[in-house]
Order: sequence, then structure tokens, then C-alpha cells
Amino acid sequence: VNLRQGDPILFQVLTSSFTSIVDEMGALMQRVAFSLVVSEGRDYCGTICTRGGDLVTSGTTDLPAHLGTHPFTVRGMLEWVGKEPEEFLSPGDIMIMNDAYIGGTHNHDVRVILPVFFDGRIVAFVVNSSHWTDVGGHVPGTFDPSARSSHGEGLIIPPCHIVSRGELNNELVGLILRNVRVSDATYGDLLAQIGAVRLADRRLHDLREQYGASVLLQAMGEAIEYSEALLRAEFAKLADGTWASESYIDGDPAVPDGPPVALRMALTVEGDDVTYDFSRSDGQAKGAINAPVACTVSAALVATKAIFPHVPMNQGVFNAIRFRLPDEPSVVNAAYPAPISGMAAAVFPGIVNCVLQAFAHIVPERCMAGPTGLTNITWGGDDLRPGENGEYVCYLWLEGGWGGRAARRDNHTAMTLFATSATNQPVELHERSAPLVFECYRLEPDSGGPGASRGSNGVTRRWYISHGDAVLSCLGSGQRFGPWGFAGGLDAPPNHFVYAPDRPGERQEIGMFVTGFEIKQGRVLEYHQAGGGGWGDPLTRDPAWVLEDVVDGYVTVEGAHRDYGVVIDSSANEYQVDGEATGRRRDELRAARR
Amino acid sequence: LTTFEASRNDDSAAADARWRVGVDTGGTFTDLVAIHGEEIRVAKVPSTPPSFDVGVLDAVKAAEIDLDEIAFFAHGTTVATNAVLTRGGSATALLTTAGFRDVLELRRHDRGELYDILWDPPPAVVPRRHRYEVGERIDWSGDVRRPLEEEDVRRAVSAATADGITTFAICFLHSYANPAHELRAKEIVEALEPSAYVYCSAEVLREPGEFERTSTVVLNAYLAPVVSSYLDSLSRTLVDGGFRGRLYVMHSGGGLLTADTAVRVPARLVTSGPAAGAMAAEQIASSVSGRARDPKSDGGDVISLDIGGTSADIAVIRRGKARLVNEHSVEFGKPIRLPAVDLITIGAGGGSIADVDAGGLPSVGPRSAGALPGPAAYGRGGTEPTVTDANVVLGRLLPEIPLASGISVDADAAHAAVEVFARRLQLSVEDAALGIIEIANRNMARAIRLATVERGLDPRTFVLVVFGGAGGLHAAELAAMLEVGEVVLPVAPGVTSAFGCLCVDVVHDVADARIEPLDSIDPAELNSTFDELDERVTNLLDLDVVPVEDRDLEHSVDLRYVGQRRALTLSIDSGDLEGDFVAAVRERFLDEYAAQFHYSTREIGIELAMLRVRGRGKLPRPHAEASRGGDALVADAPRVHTVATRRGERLEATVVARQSLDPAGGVAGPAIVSEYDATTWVPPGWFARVAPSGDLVLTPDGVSNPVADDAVSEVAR
Repeated sequence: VNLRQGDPILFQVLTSSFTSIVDEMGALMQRVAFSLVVSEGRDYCGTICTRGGDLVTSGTTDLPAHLGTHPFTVRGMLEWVGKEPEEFLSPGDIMIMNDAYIGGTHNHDVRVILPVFFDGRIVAFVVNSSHWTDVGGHVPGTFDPSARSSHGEGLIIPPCHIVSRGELNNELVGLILRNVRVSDATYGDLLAQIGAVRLADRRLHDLREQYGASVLLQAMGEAIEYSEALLRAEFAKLADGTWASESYIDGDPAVPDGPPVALRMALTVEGDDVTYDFSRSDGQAKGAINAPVACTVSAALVATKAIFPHVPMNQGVFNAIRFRLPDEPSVVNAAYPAPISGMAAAVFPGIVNCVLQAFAHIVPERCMAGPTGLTNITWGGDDLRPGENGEYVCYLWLEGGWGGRAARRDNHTAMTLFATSATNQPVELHERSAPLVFECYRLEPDSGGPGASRGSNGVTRRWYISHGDAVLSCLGSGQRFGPWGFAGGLDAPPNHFVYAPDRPGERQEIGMFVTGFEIKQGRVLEYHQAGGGGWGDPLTRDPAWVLEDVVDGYVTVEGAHRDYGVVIDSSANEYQVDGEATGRRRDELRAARR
Repeated sequence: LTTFEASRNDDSAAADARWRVGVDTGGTFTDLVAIHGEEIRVAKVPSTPPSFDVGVLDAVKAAEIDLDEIAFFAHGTTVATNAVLTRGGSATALLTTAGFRDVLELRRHDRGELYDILWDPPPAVVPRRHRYEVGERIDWSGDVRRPLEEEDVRRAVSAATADGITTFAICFLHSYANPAHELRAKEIVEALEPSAYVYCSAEVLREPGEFERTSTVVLNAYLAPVVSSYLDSLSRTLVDGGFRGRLYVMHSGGGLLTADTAVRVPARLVTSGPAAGAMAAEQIASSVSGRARDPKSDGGDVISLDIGGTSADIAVIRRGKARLVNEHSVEFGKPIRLPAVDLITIGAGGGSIADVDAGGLPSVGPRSAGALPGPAAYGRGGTEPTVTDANVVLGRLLPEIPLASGISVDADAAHAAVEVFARRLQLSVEDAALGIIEIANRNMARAIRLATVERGLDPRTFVLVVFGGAGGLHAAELAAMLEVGEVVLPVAPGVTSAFGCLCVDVVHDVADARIEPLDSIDPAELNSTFDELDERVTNLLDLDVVPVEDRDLEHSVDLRYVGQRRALTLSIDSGDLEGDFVAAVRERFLDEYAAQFHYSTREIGIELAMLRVRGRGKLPRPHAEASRGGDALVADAPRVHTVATRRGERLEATVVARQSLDPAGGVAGPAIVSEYDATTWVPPGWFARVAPSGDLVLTPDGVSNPVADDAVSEVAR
């Protein structure tokens, strides 16, 4: 009997229950995790997977970048151990792992995996991955562009029992904590993760008591089939054909001033079959911009879901898409032990860009121009504030703009990496947690890509260490290439990171690939994360809209003149568009293009 | 700002006053419940926007109560809700720490739709052009890093006033740790603009988290002029009419505030009315029985649905308690970080207008005919077809029975309005009317699923409690859509929210942040801090003139592991502070922590974070009892009435006054149960009976406790 048709309400109750169970895990993480990264920044992801590792659901606040990797996590664990799950797992057991090559992202994202037993048989796995502020290595925060192997990127944990029959494995915990900085907070986060997967296990047992095991498992399977059918129905509406797109990472951190590294995609639609072919992407880099295959696939799924948001995210989305990856190890499917810690700032946004750009040709009304990427900035030192002691590590991921859209006048969203659910860490809480002072956190004028539909503005932060010196690392991309404009829209200005901008003698460009950079107490760090690309010709943007942008300070008078050909008269008390001068300026700009 | 000195209680006068009055003002109607001993009076009159206070007074008059006979006046109001939803608050200027002008717009980056590229957050309450940066900086410990640049404040004031703005919100970083700069800036603004509304974030919320604090104070300022002029004029009207009692306002958390406190925190009123409805539903949930009731709990599982003229509000009550949330909003991205009843509101009610879009698709709501002109059937100039008009066309609302507010039904006008809609869809008038009802019901069913199914709750295991003027007309058909097997319509369902205003206590919460390792706590010292908090709460209850014997003080402490931001609140009995307090509390923390979070450890230290005291002024709860005098209303009506169903079919429905229903028997559908303030439609296949509580209970025919567990267990097998 098909549950979805036989009892659609029960089907919906169960699938929604799965989601709300994961949401409850998320609420627990926010409530009791120790690190700001997890409790406020929400850099975690919970999922329920089937016994075979198929994704059943995530929650509504779980990090999309992680969720597509969880099926790889479960399968990777099973393959690594090489046994039937009941042969190495008992009720009350919880596994831990972070090995990117056994189904992970980077070593920071530590996964705990709980087998759900119904009557002695494993029917599902509950997974929680959380970004640990530090997993060891030679710099605070672990991000290290100088690493030439994953062994230089902190502690690697293959699948191990962190809890055996309900008892914490204290020797393993000791080994892990001895290898990481800020181990107290890390211990607190690990325990929260254990609490979260246990909570989900309890809830699944409650559901089973209420509805029975077979209905529960049936709903899981049907939810996956349903998503695949929905997505294939969307694909079937698209024109058949092949579209190419590409995206560039600034370069290989191991090759100073070297060429950019390309990600290439060919999107082929044939009826309801769709292939994402990344096989022409560049080869594996020496530095830490590579991605394990789980990350590449996860990024592609996240971007696809954004274009077809009504399709519930689960294994059905995976099943509807055929992937082709390079035969040899490459930047998009790196081989152990290539360094990978920068994957979230390099390949992840790159793959998202490829997918968005390819679909922008087919269904422009559903897409947008280039969104901002991600930059990992970490620093740490000793907390010398009176009454505080011990070391601290900060992790800042920066938010920027999203692209203009054919279907909308502007984009006004400031976000972190595209389709992550990570939230910002409040300035006040950040300053309480470590000796730092922010001087600003604001939208940067003229930083949105000009277009008929303007990309949203990027964000600038300035901050300094108030007590003591610190050591900083940065692993990002997007300093060479701003987010792409589309359909005549312009690129947004790129990322920019400067040390001591106001001190001529000390000022330095930090760049996107830096390890162990020493920062002095009181010296300002200034970081600009790019806005989104523009969509459509900016010279066609209604001058009245440009005027509004100027009044609000999203665009300057100079920017209006330079990018939009709109002349704003600011001589009076009020800003006004000079219509005649605007006409002349636009003609001039059009002529200059020829 | 206005104060309410005039309304301060005068004990000698209050002694003569007898009535306890609850009034709920919605977008369309203003409802009243008055209680004195065993006597209950209800009234329903049209709301009178924009001067909602006129309607309040009309309701008191309609109940034939003199203002000087009222001892206690509790009010649920839609004024703040309306202002947010219609963007009808005051243009507001925001003063921020230099460098942080965009905190309000950057939000926390959360999204209403995590993946959807085309989703946009609604615009910020204060546009960027009216957000002004002020040189100043206070650090996390409360120390001044940069003194306040007073000139910046003056410049901001002159720029804002040049744009006609006289409402100001001030939120500086770390003001929760040291509000000095905010307070000084406020002084400067007030000196320059003595009539301006000025709010500091630290006065509203003493908590780190700059976005949430900014958003809360901005909404507070945005709503202040509207709310304060409303409460001011209401208070004046009442006092001028001889009222000597105390005016209370329902807040979003389901408690009462005095009117003068409410003016200081208008952001607490954004779901005032619906919270009152939820409190009434809690009271009703305490008496539901059957499967929806866990015998160990204070009450049953209830879905509360209040269908008014303009909107429908849904609250989920589990085990007798409405869910509370620490942060709420009536629109995405505009959080108010103050406790509130968890509610879902949609634009569907009796006044919702039916329309056909350019593509030929029919829709109902969210546009509403409101109180004026109201549905066409009200004969006040409305010409667009509404849900109420559809009910008239179908014969479910009888022209012979005047509506509660004295409005007689103009059946011809209703028919004419629906006919226009019917012609555009090429339907008969009756089929078009059925379509309007069907669409409106589906919209409401979807919202109920959102509140239950999408949170993993099965509506079939709940009792649906329906009230509001339009509730009874839709209750049974909605229940059928949701497969809910039992519907309860409380006594006087048209005024249930007003009744809810009388179902709550006066509650004050005070707290003191105190971070200290648990091991080093001196219970005597703790005791003295609690004494201070007790005194603060007692003073507040004194102001509310709560008799000493009706007071209740509850003590609690927030505990957490060292390094955590938040964890657990444990209640403390006075006995806990004697004996080995530290050891006892540690064990309770570990037990409670493990129960809630599924782990605990003794390897991380535990610390105290906060002491809390909640002072409760217990107010008498009303006993629901059927109001008298309703029979007269249906005396002239026919005993049967023709109603239309699909495809031109017509049925003879029994018409019966609710008061005349035999408690031992009941009435089978099709039937129309009529009472003073509401009409209930009992469709074919449904049965209506009166429960001992006086509630009207609807069930599918021949089913006594008809929760659909058979369907569930069948599939489960």
C-alpha cells in the first residue's frame, strides 16, 4: 500500500516529524553548545539517514553545505569498517569521525553518528556534524594554506566508537582533546552533539511506538521517491540540450601568483534525465583548495534545491541527478591525502556558481547573478583581559551580497556563503568571548554589482585585538574575481583584506591565502566581503531607483555616474536626478562600449 | 508621555464597583464579557477604527453597565498588530553606535525560505536613510572606550526632524552592560524635541545580542505613538465616564499589564488579542476529555482557532498549556525578544473578500471588508462579496435573526455581491458561495496543518476549539477536512477572547544577573539577593493593588556549565536555601540537564547565571455559564430553514436556539444553532449537543468519541 496516497495526512505527519526531530536537535545545539561558532553561528547540521545511508531529511536550520555529505559519511563509515553494521555497532553506541576522505568536508566538521535500533536491527542513522573552532595543527583555528597534505590540517579521526553501550570512551576523548586548542569548549560541543543524536534516537522511538516501525520506514522510503519524482518532473519541463559554465578559484595557494584554478560544468538535459558533468575541471591543487567528492556533490545539490525550492531535500534529489567527475584526482574530487581545509571557500562556492550559471541560461527567471563566497578567517592568542585566562580562538566567516535577479528589482540580502544557514555571530557576544573590539560592521557603498537588477551590497568589518598580540590565518578566494554579473550586469568588486590600513608604515595586504600572520595589539584588520553580481544592463536601470539607492547610501553619487550613467544633483538640500545629463552620460557610456 | 494617574485605583471607590470586564477589540468587532458573581453579560459591537476606544465604550454601553460600576477592566487590543501589519506605525529614526548603522538590516542572516533564490526579507522598519551613527563606544564589560559625541546626537535629531520624524529608537553596543550613553542621548533628544517619543534599548531589554535588542526597541518606538495615544484616549474616556478601577492590557505572553506599563513596552502588545483567545482556550482545554487528554496533565490537547472578521488566529495547546516562545514576530525579520504565546495568524475571516484574478483563479482574502464597509450583507455600503455574504446566500445565516451587534442581514445585498463573483466564474450564485466557503476553509485548514502536522503533531488527536464571530459557521467543515473528530464551541463563542482577558493573572518578572561558580555560593547571600528581588516584585504588585493573600512569589535560578551561554532554569523552594544548598542544587541540575539534553557530566564546572522572581497577583477566574436571554432572538425565526448545498440541491435545516438545546439530547445536521453572538452550522452527517460545561460539542453522526484512531492504527498494522 502506498502511504502517500493511502493516508496522505499520516505521510505528511511522519515526514514532518522527521524534520521536526532534526529541528529539535538543532535547538539543542543552539542551547547548550559552548562555542559561539555553533551556538550562535549555527555551523552544524543534523540529519536522519536510512540504514543504507540515504538522506531522509535535515531540519529547517541545518547547514546545507554539510547535509549533502552525510550520506557519504554513513556509507564511508560502513565501508571503512567493512562489516555489517550490527557486527560492530550495539544499542547505545555512537561513532565519531571527521576524515574528509571517508565522507566529510574538512577536518573541522566533526561528525557523530548514532545507529537507531528497532528490535536489534539498525533501521536508520542519526548524524550530527558540527564545525569545531580548532582541530589542532600549527595555527589557531587550523585553516592553513601552507599545508601540502591533509596531515597538516589538524587531527584526522577515522570512524571510532566515542560512546560504547552508553559509556563515553574517555581514552579517545582524551586523545582528541589533547590535540586541539580551546579543548574545554570543544569538549562541551562534543557532548552537545552526543546529546543531540540521542535526543533524535529517543524521538524516533517515540514515533515508532505511536505508529509502528514498518509505517515509519515506509514513510522514509516514500519521501525519497517523492522528491526524486518531483525534481524529475521539473527537469522534464526544461528544454533538452547541453549548457556549459565555469568558475574560478583565485589560484593554488602553493603556487604564488600562479594561474587561477578552473571548475567547469556541462549541464545536459534529456527528458527528465539530467547530468552534471564536472570532468573538465582542473587537476588537484597542491594547496588546501581541493574538495573531497562529498563536498562537490553537496554543493551541486544545494544549488539545485535553490532553483527548485519546493522539492524536499533528501536522497531523492541525489537520485534525480547523474554526476560525472574527472577520472583522475582533481580539484573537485581530491585523493587522500591532498589538503582540503579550504574547500568551503573554494570548490563549494565554485560548484554553486557553475550550477547557477548553467541554469541561468535555461530558467533565468529562477536564477540570480553571482553570490558572494566564503572566507575563513581565524586568529587566536592568550586572553589577557583582566579576570580572563587561557587561550582563545576566533573563527569569522564573512557575509556579503547576493546577485541581482531577472525577476526582482534588487537583491537586499546580506548572507554568508550561498545557501548556508549559518547566522552571524553577534558583535556583542563575540566581544565578550575574546579580547577584540569591532570598529564597524556595515554595508559597503558601491559594492553591489551594477545591473538593471542590482546585486546586494557587500559587508565591511574592521576590528582589532584589545589585549595582546595574536596569530591569524586566512583561507578564502574571490580576491581576483568578484561575483559574476549576468545578462549585461557587471561583476561586483572582489574581496579585500588589509592589515593596519591607517598606518602607512605597517599597512599590508593580507590576501586570501595566509598562515600564521602576526597581528599586534590594537592594529586594525579591515576585511571587505564582496557584494553580489548585477543582472541586466545597468544603463537600463530606472534612474528613480538609482536615486533611491543614493539616498540610502547603497550607491554613491560617483557610483551612480560611473556605473549607471545616472547624474545626481546634490547641490540642493535634496538629491535629484538630472534627467538631461543622465541621458547624455548614458549615451556616452553606450558609445564607449562599442 | 502620557501617564495614567487618573486611572489609579482609589480603593474606596473600587469597593463599590462590582463588575469585572474583559473587552477584546478586533479589526471588525469589539467584544465584551462582564462578570459579577453568577451574572455574566456579553456584548458585541462594531469596531470603530481608527478610534478603537469609541467601540470599547459602545460595548460597555451595550452591556448596560455603568463605568463607575466596573472594578476591573482587562483589554485585548489589535491596535499594535494592525500598526505592524499595515505599516501604520510612526516613521522612526534609529541612533546607533558609529560603524553599526546596518545591524537592523543585516539581521542574523536567517532566511524565511532557506533555499529559495527569489525569497526576499521584508524591508527593515527603519530605512537606511533614517539610521544615524553616533560616535560613542562602550565595551563588553561596560567601560567607556569612546565618550558620547553629543554633537552627533544633535545632528541626527535635526536631520530626522527635517524629514518630519519625531519618534526615536536608540540602540548602542553593550548598553545592556552600561546604558549611560543611551540614557544621555535620550536626554539630548528629549531636550531638543520635548514632545518626541524616545526609547532606549536597555530600557526594553537588558540582554546582549545587538540585532535582537535593536529590533525590539525599534518596534517599541514604531508602535509607541499609536499605542499610547490609543490607551491615553481610552483611559480618558473611561475616567470621564466615571470609571475608578484599574485598566489592564493583555500582552502577547498571555498576561496583563497596567496601561501605564503597557505604554512603556508597546512591543509587548503585538499579539494582545490572539493571546487573550489562547488563554481562554487554555481554560477550555482544562475541561476537555477523551483521547486528547493525558490524565496526568492539567488539560487536554487542543487546537484553538479564533475566526474573526479579518483574520484567523491559531494556537496549539498541549496538555492544557499554550506554547510560549522567547522571541516572536508578526512579520519575518522583525523579532521582538520578549516572551509570547506561539501563534499563527492568517488573513481569513468573515469579512475576507472573494476575488477572481487575471488568470481566472478565485481567491478569498487576505483582503478584508473590515468593520467598514463590512460585508455587503451588513448593508453599510459594502459591495464586494465576502465569506459572510456567502454564508447568507447559502442560508446558514438567517435574515430573520439580527447579528449580535444589532446589524440586520441584508440578504439581497449579499446575493448581489456574490452574483458578480459567480458570473466571472460562470457558476450559479449558490455554487459560487459554496466555493467561497470551501476556499476559505482550505486556507484555514492549511494554517492549522502548519501549526500541527508540520511540527509533527497529528491534528486527529486534538480537539478543535473554535470561537470568534465566524467560527461556528466553519467549525464542522474544517474539522472534516482535518479529520478532527470533536469540535468544541465554548459558551458565547463570539466573545471568547474577551472572556480570555478575565482568565489570567497579573504577572511580574524580575531578575538579577549574577555569574558565580556554584561551589562558591553562600546561601545566605543568595537569600538576601532574593529578598531584594522579592521587594521589587512586591512593589509592583502593590502598584497593581493585588491583595496580599492573592500573591504568589516563585523563585528560580539559571544554571549552566562554565563556558555555556544558556542552559537551565531551576525553581527554588525556600527550603532549598537551608541545608546543603549547593549539593542539592547540583544534583537537581545534573538530573534535569540529562533529562532535557540527553547527557550530563561532572567534569565541567557548574555556574549560577541569574536569579529570578516571578510575582503573581492571582485574579479570580470566571466560571463559564450560559448567558440568559438568547431565546428571544430566535423566537421569531422559523423552526426550519432552507439551506443550499452543491448542484442546486436544497435541504431543510432545523433552526434551534442554543439555550433551548436539551442537554440530554441534541440536534442532528443539517441544523443551524443560533445564539446571541454567533451562529453554528451543523452540516449533514454531524451532530450537536450541549456538554455539562455548557460548551456546544459537534461530532460526526453517531460517534461518541470519534478520534480517528482506527484509520491510524489500520495503516500502522
